[in-house]
Amino acid sequence: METKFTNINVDKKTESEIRKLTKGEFGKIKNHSSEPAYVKFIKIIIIIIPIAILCYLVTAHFFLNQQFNYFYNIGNEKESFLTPVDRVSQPISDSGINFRNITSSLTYFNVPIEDGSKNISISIKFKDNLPESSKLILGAKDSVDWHYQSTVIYSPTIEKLIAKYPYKQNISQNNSLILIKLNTNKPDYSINDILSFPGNVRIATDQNISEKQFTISNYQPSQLTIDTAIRGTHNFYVYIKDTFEVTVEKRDMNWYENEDNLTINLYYLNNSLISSRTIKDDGETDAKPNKTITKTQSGTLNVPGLKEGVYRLELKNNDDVIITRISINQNKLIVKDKVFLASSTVYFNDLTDPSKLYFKSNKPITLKFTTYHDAAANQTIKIDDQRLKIIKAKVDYNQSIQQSSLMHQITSEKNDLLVSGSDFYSFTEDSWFEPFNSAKILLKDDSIYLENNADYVLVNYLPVQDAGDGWKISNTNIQLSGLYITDKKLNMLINIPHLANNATKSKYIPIDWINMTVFKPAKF
Amino acid sequence: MKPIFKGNLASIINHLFQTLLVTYLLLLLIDQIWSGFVSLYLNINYLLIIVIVLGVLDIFSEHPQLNIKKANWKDYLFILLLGIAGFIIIKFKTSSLGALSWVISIIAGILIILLSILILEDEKP
Repeated sequence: METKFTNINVDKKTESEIRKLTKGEFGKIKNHSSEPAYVKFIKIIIIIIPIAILCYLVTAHFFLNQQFNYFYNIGNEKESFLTPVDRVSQPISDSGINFRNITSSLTYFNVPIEDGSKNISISIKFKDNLPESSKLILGAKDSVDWHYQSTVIYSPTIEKLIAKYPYKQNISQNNSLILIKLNTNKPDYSINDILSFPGNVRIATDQNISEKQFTISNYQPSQLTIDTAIRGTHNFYVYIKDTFEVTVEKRDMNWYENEDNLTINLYYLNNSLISSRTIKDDGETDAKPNKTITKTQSGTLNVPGLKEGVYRLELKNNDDVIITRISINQNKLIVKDKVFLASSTVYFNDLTDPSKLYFKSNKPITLKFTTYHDAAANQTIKIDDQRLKIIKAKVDYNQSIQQSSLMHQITSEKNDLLVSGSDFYSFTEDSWFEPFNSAKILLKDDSIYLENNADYVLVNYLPVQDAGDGWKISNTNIQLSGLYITDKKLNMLINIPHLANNATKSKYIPIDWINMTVFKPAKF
Repeated sequence: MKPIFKGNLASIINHLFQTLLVTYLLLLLIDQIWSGFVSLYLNINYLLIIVIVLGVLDIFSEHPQLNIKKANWKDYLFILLLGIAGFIIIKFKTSSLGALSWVISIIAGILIILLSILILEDEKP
């Protein structure tokens, strides 16, 4: 056998000796000079190390869901994480907790975001030093300009309502909706029901829910005549189908100088004027009251071709006028806010009829009654079965009304009475309707306003956890799609509006820590 | 200097050092190209410490005598590929510099090729 010994540094004598070896002898030498098996095994193991590392990296990147946790200890001596630094105090230690105060309404911090990350969960430990009208807002930068996608992470108003009223929660990846039922008389709706706007509730919400047009099913117009005398400007809501026609009769009191005109205005609900008609003065522009006069002035407003729905009707005058009759070709009419009942001999001798008003209230209210003349004092007002004595003029008399779905009736014998406290009134039972019983209410940071105006509150909000000693932990989840991430960093904003207000700017908010977890799903 | 580690132990140390050094450099390169691909999951500084320790041990180990071969066309092709790879990586990392990026990466690629040829053709053992 001829063996080639290329690349082996041997002299010619040795090479010739090796060539003389038999196959068996050569095999023995080869086995003796090569590495033992265990060395080969160890070397194979060593080669496996980089292969294993690469396999781990590829698996982690493409086949496993990953979570990256970032903990910002705000009370840390070395680094506050929040910028600008002049909007954050130096570290403060209290009861073993190190924290910093946020002293300005807008502060920022960055979160590292890996490519392919889907959402981020953020927890903030802070001390509740907020007035009720304020809130803690977390913003995530969503454009190259200074624009942030905001989420309320703490609202004293919502927390107060949650503590007081029953609520439902629906936590999903995109948001965490919470539905608070403020009016126990309303049906028990689910969050999905409210999102589709059921039509008989008032909802205060930050969600994009489209309000439905109010309609009365199978409405048929018919003639309605109101002979209750009223004084001054009154605003009405009227449900109109087809042509609208109203005729108003007035008598001028002539207690004061100048012309006593009355203008009939019909508006859309957005306050744009549709049509107008003015009823002129009786001809007497001097201040010459005469209670015996029975002569009336009247005018008619006719508006054809209106789309079926609710409109606002205004009878505008200078308070030197008594409206003695309203006659309309539609049968649903209510008065807004207040009614001045004027069927009284204080104004004209022949006005002696008692007056009736009707209203409903699905929330507790306080009715207020006031007369301005002694002649109308010493009268008893009937509210359903209750009686309220009006003893003196120019004094407010109040009557509490509990929330109910029943119709209430107010009866006044002497009139000359300003009635207020309810949102709406009607002059007959049949003419009552509730156009704004279903409405989208402005979501304010005011629990009393919400209790008085909304049946439900629907907000994207996650209740905070109590961490003791006034400390709270708020949690929120932010989707990263659509956010502006540069250099693998997401800029976040902490917005505390009350710190921009002179009256409350000293109510600093202590922050202990911010804990963030970025979730990156597997690619395959 | 008399080696402390000899025979099979020296062979294992040498093999381990070389393997981990190449692994470290490869991971560093990958992390430079795809930022975070490695550093997000591994702190390669720990690997660097291990490589340094093994490097020190390798210095005190016995090494087999190296054979010097004459360079052939495969070696020159390998150097050319290394130069192109170096050019691409540097261009990628300096792309934000605009036209200057081309100048830097071309010069770097040429330097890699020329220095490699110099070392390849050096006749000293």
